[in-house]
Amino acid sequence: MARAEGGSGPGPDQPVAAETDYTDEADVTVTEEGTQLERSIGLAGALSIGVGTMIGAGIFVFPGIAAGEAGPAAAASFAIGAVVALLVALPTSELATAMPRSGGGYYFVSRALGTLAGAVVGIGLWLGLVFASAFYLLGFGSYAAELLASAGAVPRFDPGPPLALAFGAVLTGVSVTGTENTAKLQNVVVGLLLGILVLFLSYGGLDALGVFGRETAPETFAPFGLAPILTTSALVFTSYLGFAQVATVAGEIKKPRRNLPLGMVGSVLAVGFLYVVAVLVATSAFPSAELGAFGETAMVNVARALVGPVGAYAILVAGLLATVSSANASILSSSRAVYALSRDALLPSRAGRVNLRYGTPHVALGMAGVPVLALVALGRVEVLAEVASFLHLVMYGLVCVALVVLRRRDPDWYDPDFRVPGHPVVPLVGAAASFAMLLFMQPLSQAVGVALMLAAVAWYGYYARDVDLSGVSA
Amino acid sequence: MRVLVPVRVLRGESVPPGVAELLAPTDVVVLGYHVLPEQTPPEQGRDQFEERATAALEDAADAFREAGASVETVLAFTNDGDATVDRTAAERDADAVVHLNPATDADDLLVPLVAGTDLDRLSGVVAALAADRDVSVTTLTAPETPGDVPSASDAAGAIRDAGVPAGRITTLERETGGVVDAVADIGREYDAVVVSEPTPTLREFLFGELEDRIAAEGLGPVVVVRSPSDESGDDAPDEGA
Repeated sequence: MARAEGGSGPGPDQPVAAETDYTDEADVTVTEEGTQLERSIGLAGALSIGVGTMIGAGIFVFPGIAAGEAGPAAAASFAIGAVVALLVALPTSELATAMPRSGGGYYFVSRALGTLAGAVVGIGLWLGLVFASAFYLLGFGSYAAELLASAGAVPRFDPGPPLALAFGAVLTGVSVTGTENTAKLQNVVVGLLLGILVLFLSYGGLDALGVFGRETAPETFAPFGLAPILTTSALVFTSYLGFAQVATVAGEIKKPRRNLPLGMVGSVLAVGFLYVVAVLVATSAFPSAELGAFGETAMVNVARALVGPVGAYAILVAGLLATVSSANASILSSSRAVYALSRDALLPSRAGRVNLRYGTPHVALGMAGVPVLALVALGRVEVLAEVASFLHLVMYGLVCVALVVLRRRDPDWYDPDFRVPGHPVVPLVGAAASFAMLLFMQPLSQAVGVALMLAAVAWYGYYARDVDLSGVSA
Repeated sequence: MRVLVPVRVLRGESVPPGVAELLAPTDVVVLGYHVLPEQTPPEQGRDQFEERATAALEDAADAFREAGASVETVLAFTNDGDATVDRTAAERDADAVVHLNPATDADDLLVPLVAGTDLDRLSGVVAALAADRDVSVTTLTAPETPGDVPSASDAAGAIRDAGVPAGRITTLERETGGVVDAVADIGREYDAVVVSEPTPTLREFLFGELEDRIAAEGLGPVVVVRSPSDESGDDAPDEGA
């Protein structure tokens, strides 16, 4: 990837290419002109963004699909994903404490590696979140269809995709026009989800260990061998994208130097543990081929088998809540990526406009929401998930590279409060692992991912060639 | 004495002449702020609205300067207006926060006594507003006010000791009801209300019941005297700076 030319910027000590300099206090950012930007998301809010975004995919969409492909060893696939996510979350945390700005990974990469790499990552983040959102919405559609079916309504066509489409339109509309603050509601929803899951998985975990004397499905751990474990971990990696969402709102997080690392690393650890347990519970309840046939809503069947109809309904409702909160968080994060790009003149400034009536960034939200709907209409769950992961993994790899570059260059302004342990091994392994994951994806997902990156490069050449974000280069 | 005056600059909120006159003897920190929904990063709001907000904030500051106050300004973009007001009040160590309401004069102050009133701080603020000019002060007590409320005579004594001549102090004691009802009843006869922050946080008061009722009754500005415990609140800005 392109490295910024050294020494071309206005000075070695300016962290921002735009003319604004910032001072970060615990609860406020102060610009050069003295204008204050309040930070209002606390640690609970950061964890709730991270966990809330990730859990929708990892628990409520993937376990069945993953078990169908890798057998009980799907638990190992999730564990591999968690390790990779952690290897990236640590470097991301360090960069975020040094540059707690909106845009997250895009911001770090553009400042450390220059405009071209920034454009690829920024456009990749925007579109990656669009793909992720579409994927979560299709998960929501599956749950809504399952709910209809359990209520006895069985239409002649699959009602999942139309429901996903309708709900995606509602979410986008509400995010443009709704000015009620919903962060507290989101915290409650995530708390509720965690409560349901911990109860269910503790019961299921004890059951899987034979405490309740039930026969578990006898099966070898990795019936299909090693390769499916790796391809499955590439597929389910979408379950770990949420910590990037924490980084995209870095500019709004209180005490960023403490809460950003805790929020990102903490949410990856929490969901990683839950995923592994969930898959172990699921594969102990059903043979993996059967789980694969249940598809996106396999956990509902698992809950029905273990706890009965009440359990099934609890997981059904939890699945609806989780997938909606994931989709919503991703649309909002995507619009923040668009804003970060337009702020840096990589997209037209119109894209960053705020609606006078509602005070919402309607153009950016539209640039997130409308393509989401188009992708939902295509309806390819696995491809959407993999393309989302692909674009994020490219960013993750480059974020790790950015960290190594910044540490070596060590500009005056680079003063992170959190430092990655085991530098440079951890970020280099993180970068290698992120790029290696790309190799295990389906050819179609790889082709779409590469095409989108090339499109980003073409856009850079057409629109943003003159933009210099490498003021930080020294 | 330093007072914080939050002004929602882009909502067309401006400084009524009576408020400027009321605060003329003080150091005024004018906080111009704009609340954005959660979907909008404060920085994005700033990119678009900073110019207009700065102009509106300067107009507000000028109103106080012309009345003779010493003025500082702060401009903030936020997703949480209450947090911004609380934080700025703590940062600037403001003695009181002023809730704007229309007023044309500043001749008489109503001082309702609520639970947790710190008489030292309350009388200090009242004296700063009333001592050296012809402003009269009326303390208000009501029997059904919940909590530990200082007596009218203690309050009048403290205000006198702080420098307001006894002749300009009146004590008004209601026979029934709580002090909130009493303010709603008679508040409109006074130019401004000065009250201690009654509950642990300023936020609960500013945006809680009393504020709603005062606003609904169309009364004058409310000067909320901050309590010292405010600075050790749960999100005091003491970390990571």
